[in-house]
Amino acid sequence: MQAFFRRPTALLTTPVRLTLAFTALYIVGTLLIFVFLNYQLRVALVGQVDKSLLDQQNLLTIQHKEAGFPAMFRAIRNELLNRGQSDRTYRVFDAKGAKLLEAGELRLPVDIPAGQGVHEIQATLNVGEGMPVKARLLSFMLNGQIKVQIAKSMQDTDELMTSFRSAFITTVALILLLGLAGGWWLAQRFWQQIESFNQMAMKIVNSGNLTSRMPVTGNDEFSVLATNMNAILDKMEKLFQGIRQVSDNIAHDLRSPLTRLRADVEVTLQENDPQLFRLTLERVLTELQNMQEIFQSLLSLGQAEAGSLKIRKKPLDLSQLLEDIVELYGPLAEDKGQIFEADITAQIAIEGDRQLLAQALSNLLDNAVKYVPEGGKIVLSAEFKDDKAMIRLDDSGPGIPHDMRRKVFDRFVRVDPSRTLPGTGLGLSLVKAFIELHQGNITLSDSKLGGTSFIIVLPVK
Amino acid sequence: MRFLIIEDDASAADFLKKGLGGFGYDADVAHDGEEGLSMARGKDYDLWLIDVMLPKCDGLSVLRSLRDDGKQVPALILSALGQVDDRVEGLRAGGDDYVVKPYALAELQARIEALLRRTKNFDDYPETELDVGELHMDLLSRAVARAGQEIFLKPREFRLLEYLMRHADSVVTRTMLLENVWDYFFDPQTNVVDVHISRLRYKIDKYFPYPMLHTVRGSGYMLRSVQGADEA
Repeated sequence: MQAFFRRPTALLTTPVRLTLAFTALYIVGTLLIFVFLNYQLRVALVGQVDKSLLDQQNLLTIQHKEAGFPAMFRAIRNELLNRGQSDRTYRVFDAKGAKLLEAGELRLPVDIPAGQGVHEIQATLNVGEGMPVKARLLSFMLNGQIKVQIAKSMQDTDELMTSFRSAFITTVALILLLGLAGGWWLAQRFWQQIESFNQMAMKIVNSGNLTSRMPVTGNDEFSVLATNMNAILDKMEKLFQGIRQVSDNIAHDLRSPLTRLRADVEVTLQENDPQLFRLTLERVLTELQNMQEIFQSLLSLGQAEAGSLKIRKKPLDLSQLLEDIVELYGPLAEDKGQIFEADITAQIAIEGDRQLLAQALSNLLDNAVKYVPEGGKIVLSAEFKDDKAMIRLDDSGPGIPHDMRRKVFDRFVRVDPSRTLPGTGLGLSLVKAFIELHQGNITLSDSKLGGTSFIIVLPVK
Repeated sequence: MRFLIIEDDASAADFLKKGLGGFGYDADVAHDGEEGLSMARGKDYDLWLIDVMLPKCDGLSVLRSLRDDGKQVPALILSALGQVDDRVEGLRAGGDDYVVKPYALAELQARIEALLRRTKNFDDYPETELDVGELHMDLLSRAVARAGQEIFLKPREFRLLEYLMRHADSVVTRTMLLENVWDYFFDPQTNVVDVHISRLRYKIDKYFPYPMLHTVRGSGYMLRSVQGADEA
């Protein structure tokens, strides 16, 4: 039995797999975003640096054009002095290549041709041990004689990029951690729920005890699942109870006639009397017919209660069905000296199985006609009440004692203790089963006629 | 008369064959669906008795195939399945009647006779009048008379008599009457049918020199077209 049940291992559960898959996806996505942002940011920052260099070129060119070299040198000096923190470096060479001016924090490599836009170069800092730094350098000619170089260190930009990267990575790591923790928590919860179901299923399979139920907590999909599984268990429990009860009943009520049959046949076989043989065989046939009837009733009952009986519901004129039954039983009651009356509202339309309902009513009337004494009264009435069809069968018979009323629908229960009248004790069980197949119910109470009153309530649809 | 029994339980088939022999019918036996199919195709039988649950090819499939061939032999289905649905399915497959196992031989005999009679009297023109001995029934005016004397019947009594007249001189069982006159496919515990028969008998026999509606002990009833004694 245990082979039916595999327990999931925590690592393979669906949420764990989902969490891992989403984490991987998240990492790939974040990497792509990082590469893109990093590139964009650098392009923007470098652009800013380059623009400031080009602005300087414009400024110096204008100074030189309007006021000559001295004004330009002054401007450079002003730049360096006024903005003490200026990180720009200036170099000016004459036509022969002699250095006219060099000012700024950077020591630039020697030979860089002019007029080719901004370059990225490797420079060193004047201060300290000559630490290498990256820099942007713009080189241009003035008047075709003077070569001017303006450079700016990329240290600030690199620092910005570095802090951007670390901020980004920290954030991503945090989110990742949170996601993993959340996923783990969900997986744990999911696993626990599933595990509790598995435990219960295993318990039921191993013990064969169908009374256990799944725990229903909260209002989520798990509780819906648990409720539905419990419904399956309810149905199964009912089915098994039905089967068990049927086999108990068969053992009880078919074994006794079988014992009688066997004894009868064995005793007869000891003799050698053809006349006796014939009589015994006739008794055997009668007994077989009774057993067949019990068997058929038990079968229908088992099928009806287990829900495997095919019910053919069709629109049905219940009033007509009842009139037909009255017509069928009327002469019988009359012959027995009983007064049989019907008070049936016309055209009560319901959905139902004509055969099953007719059989149920026929069983009830069989009983009534059997138990009501001569001169007694039987009344079948039906009406449409509160969207339901209500059928009453009243009689002036001996009635059913209170202590029997609960049991009277059980199998093989017979009110007549002497069991002098024929019957299987299954008639009322069948009535109840057939009525319940129609989602109806049957109850009994004291009748105003002095005997029993059976009340059947049927939904119209 | 030669019948074909298609039944996989050999001893059940044997008993059935013997029982039918007692009524004057010969029968061949097929033990599975395929054998039954080839036997039914190879020879002209007067009736098929077909069990539903058969090895190789189930009874209803056999019957459907034979009907597809265009064979019109009357078919009686014998089945352990007794629900109305099973019955409907059996009749849809081409069965002419349906008997639930275990059955009484007398019940089977009565139904076989009803089936044979139905095919013998097959008529393209629906009858408007029935005549059995002194009894006359006009189906259109719904008038009934015995020896020219009018008899008044309630609607159900009329249908009861009509069925008996259509099956005159053969046995009809209580179950057949419940099925065909009342359209009930269950047997009430009390013999309600007996009471209706005695009412009818009172109307058609009481004031006449000899009875026509007879009780056949252990089986059912018979409407005789000629004067005769009750069976012992």
